[in-house]
Amino acid sequence: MPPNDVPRPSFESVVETYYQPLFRFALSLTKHEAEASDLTQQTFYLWATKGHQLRDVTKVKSWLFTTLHREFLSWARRRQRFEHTEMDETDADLPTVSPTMVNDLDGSTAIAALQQVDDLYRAPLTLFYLQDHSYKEIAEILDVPIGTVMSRLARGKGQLRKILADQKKSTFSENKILPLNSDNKRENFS
Amino acid sequence: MDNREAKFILQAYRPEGRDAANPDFREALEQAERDPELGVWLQQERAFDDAFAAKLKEVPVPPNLKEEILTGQKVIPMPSIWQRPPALIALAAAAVFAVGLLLLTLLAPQMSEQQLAWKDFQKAAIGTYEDPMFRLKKMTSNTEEVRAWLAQEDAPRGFVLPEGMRQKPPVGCTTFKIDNHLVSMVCFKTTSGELAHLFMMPRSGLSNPPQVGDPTFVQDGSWSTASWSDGKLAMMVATQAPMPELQQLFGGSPLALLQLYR
Repeated sequence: MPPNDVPRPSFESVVETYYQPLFRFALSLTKHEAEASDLTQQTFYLWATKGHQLRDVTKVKSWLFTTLHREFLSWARRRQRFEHTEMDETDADLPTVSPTMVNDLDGSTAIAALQQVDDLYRAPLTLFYLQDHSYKEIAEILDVPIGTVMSRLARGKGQLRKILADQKKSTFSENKILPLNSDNKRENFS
Repeated sequence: MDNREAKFILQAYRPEGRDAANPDFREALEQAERDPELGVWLQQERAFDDAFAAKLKEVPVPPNLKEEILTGQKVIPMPSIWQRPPALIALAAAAVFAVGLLLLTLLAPQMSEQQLAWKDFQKAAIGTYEDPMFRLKKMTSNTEEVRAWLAQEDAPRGFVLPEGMRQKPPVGCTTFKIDNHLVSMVCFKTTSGELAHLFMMPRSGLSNPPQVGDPTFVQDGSWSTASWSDGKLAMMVATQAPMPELQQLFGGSPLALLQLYR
């Protein structure tokens, strides 16, 4: 069906379809729930006021994610806290992180790990794991070449695995040093 | 393709096989079928990606967020297109089309000369840039290439540029239409790294073009703008840099103007 023949979705249906992945993308960028909520609302405000200018309604998803990312960059620039460093090399030997270990995480721990990935790699990585975006769409949303997306995904994944492995190591050490759970501690020190 | 290249491509292969039909991955996937070591790596990579993607879906979303978005929508002035049932929109569109066709037949000569108000031009020009899908058609830091490209597009050009902007190499340029008027746009970077956009269109297309000579500076929300006319062209520079930075581009008054893109 040509783009112009696709019926224009209602505002409510656009919100219903996209508010959750948009919020998760925003949360990975801002690291704060309140800011992520604001950013998500701002994106839908812009959709409400300017979305009608979008002629090709098959591009709604790209429009929303692009807008959210642009708004984030604009906020971050204003707050002068958007800093990133380019890694020189991709880590050659990435730590092994098993899917079982990932399965042991909860959603909040997973996003906390994602939030520790460098700004530069976090946006493409989150879009990748939100699954709705091909690497070509990610390139379009972030306005970077396809090759850059591939490199950032590779480096971002490397960082994510390292963060998860470090978390695992640190949990293991804590458990060895402090085998008592919090209830036991209360009993011992009360 | 060696295994290193194949891994580089396959790490962008989405969880749950959503890229299975994408030919970009075919060669690397075939290699993973042939090479056991690569096959094992891909299996592990996909298992990790599947698991992490599933965890991301568990991230809780504030329970009131959806309601707040929908409530917020009710208190902002919405373009009427969102507030009408689709059938009504279709009917309205058909009626508008029929009336438009009639008017087009009767008033064609006059319509081609329909003029824009300067304020509408400003709003539409900035709105075009703010559209997330907006892209410059020509990326170049070469002034000569900008000039040649605008000439090739038969776009408004041959303008006089403030001295301060003359020092800045362009980032790129594009053209777009506002109603039926072709507009040229050239982008520069200001001293602080913000972008400044020069928009131009023929004065004849405007009902109230800006004055000839010194620019008028106006702060409109986050946008600092300077508007002026030169010969047959009306021009506006718009930037989100602070107003003093924009004024600096014009090098004070009286303006030292230099010819560019002739």
